[in-house]
Amino acid sequence: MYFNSLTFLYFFTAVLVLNAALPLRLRNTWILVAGFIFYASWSPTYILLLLATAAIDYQVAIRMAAIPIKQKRKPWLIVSITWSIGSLLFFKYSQMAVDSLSLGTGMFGVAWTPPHLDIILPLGISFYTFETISYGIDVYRGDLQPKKSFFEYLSFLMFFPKLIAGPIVRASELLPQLAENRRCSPEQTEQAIHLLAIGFGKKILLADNFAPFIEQVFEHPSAHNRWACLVAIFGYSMQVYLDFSAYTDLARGCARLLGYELPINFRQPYLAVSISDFWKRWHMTLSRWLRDYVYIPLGGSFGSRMNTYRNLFLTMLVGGLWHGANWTFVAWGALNGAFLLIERAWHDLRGSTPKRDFEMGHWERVGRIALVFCLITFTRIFFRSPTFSIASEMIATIIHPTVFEAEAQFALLGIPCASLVYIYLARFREQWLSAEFRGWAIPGYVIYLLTLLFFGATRTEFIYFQF
Amino acid sequence: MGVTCFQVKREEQSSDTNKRHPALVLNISLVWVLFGLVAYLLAIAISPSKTSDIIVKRHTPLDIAIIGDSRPHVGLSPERLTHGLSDGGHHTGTIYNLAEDGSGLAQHVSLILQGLLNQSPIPKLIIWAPNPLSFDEHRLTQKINQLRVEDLQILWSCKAPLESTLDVATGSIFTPYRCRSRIRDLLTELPIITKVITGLQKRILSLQFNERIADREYLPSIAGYEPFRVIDWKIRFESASATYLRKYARLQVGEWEYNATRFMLQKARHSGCHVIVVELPVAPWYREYLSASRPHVVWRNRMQRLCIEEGATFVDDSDAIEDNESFGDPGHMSVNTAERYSLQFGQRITGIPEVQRALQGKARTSQ
Repeated sequence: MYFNSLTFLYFFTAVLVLNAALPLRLRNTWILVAGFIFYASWSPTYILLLLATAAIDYQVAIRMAAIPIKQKRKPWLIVSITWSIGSLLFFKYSQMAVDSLSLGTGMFGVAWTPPHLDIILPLGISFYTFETISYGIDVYRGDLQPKKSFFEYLSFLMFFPKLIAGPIVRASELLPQLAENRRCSPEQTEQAIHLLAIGFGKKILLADNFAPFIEQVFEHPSAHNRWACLVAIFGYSMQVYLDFSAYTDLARGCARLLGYELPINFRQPYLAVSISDFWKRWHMTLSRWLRDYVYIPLGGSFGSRMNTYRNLFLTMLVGGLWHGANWTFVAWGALNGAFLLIERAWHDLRGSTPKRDFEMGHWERVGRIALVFCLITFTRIFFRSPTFSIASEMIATIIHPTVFEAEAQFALLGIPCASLVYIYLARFREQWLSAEFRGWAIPGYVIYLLTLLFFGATRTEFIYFQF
Repeated sequence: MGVTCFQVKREEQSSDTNKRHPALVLNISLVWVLFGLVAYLLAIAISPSKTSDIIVKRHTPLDIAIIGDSRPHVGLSPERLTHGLSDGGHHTGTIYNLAEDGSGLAQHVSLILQGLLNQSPIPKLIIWAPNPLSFDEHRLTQKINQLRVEDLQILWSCKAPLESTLDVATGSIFTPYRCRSRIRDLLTELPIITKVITGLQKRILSLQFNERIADREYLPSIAGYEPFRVIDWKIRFESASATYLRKYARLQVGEWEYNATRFMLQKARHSGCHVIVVELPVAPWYREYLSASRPHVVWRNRMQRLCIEEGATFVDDSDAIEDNESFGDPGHMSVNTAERYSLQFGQRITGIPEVQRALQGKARTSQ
């Protein structure tokens, strides 16, 4: 059940209507039931895995809270993390491990064909696993009191708007809201409608209309010329942002209509002035998670410079691997880690701190934005390519000079123009979100809905569902 | 004092909220009503009908109907088929090619059940030329909006995916949703829009476009059959090969498609209409790389079994033609091949006892 499907549209309408009709005390139960239906529509069997994960983490958290000394809580924390990481490793990385083993033994002359394990990746496992891990660690650290009621904990974990592709919410953000039994105010309704409109526009008008050209080029880069490859790479950079941020907007919009707030995940990432700035604006809930549960436990920026560089690099490698069971994702993480490391080393050598937006001149800012966008887009080649050979084919086609031929008129003009217009319009996002639903908003929305209906692309999966 | 101020503020907020709620509901309703009205007007103004719809609506009696996607559309000539049947001693009345480019199983079943088998008299023979791609779930999503409310029951009873059923249901309630792809095509193909886009690209990016050279030329349609002549065979064949590989890589055939096929074949048999399911000729390249693939083999075996069980005839002509050059692209016959094959096909099917019986039988009326 994708957010952009009719099934979800009817399902969510029913959820909203019943939610409004039910007394406040029953609303959480209803939202939990809706979470079950939502997940079961993909696979009823895998709900058991989710329930098992929830039950183990719930029990472990209760037991940890009963132990006053932090050190003695550790075995329980290990149990919880082993289960969560273990299930993630099994479902997500088994095939990669087997393939890599075959490749490794092949290098030493022992050739064998790796078996196809045929393991189905449970939808949203990367997201909910990170949520359960953060819950366990927060309780272990004493930052969070565990929930006494399994029902409440399950309501947090199975809150359907964020269940399968984030944002990665912390228990401390959502549990208090669930305890309050909230209702949606007219202002929240207006904002939610705006969020849903922005999300649908990004997904079905832009991202999905970009997709066919990009898919075609990435399938066989050398069959296209340099310009087509460049447009495809920059187009993909925009597509992945539009697609993923659309999901977040839709998730936040749906949650808000139910009366709940989910954290923001993107803050105009392509207007970042440095790589570290980019990672503060892109998939913010993942960056936050990696910072708190990987980077800082590794030692963070305490200790020697070399340790800091190592920690940065390792954190980005974990971030890369989290995205998918493929070495291209590891390469993507490594590249980002390398860029962060170079940036950090540069400042360390000069003894300076990174400049902030307002400390720069206009042209310096524009130049930095362009440079960061180009570097990030370069890393996307590895993010998008299914294999290293496709990635190198893409790079080779761009480097190799070819005669310009306009082969995809829409893509050549449409993707860069739509991207620029979008970046420009992003400045007005906050104004749009706070606008009241009256006056010019009415004809504006009529035209917008007509555009969505007639020019929206055919339904496709969100890119981040595969992670 | 502080508490009083806070209470007053809260009361003001609460009364403001109470006032805003109905206004917001009213405004949202207004947006939906206006949107619905404009969309309906657009749908009424520019929604055209399919050729097959027109034929069926006119109640033109047909003896033989050809159903399928672009392959029979460009590959089965009613005229040559008539000659072929005459050579075999059968003089038939009207034959019409109702195949439609890009259509899928759902449309074929709908046209046969809601259109042809509801006509009076019903056709004696239906030549249905499906292929695994016309059973592909991805194609279904693109084209299901052509179906009508009458098809809902079939989809439901054949256990079609919920999303597809809802798609048809939404299209039945809200016509503009059903016609949206056609309206979009008509809007984007408006000469003024094309001109503006090309002009902008030339001015802004200083691009010089090579005039796009057409790789094929369609010939005038005769009785629904619309063959094409290839202009640049190499380009056409190679680009189509890549597309086919892509389509086969994501090919997905669900169980409900076979249920719908069985349902349709059963209904046709009960109505006294014989169905020939034919796998049309494809290029040797197609046979080597695609027909031998597992999904294709599974599909063919299932279809053969279904035809035996439901009294239809399965004809596998996929290897009837031996060279790639006889095809416009790996899956479509070029005009000369199509004409030649249609004649041979007509001659051959007269040798099938079930077809002989069907063609000799009296015309039946729908019940």
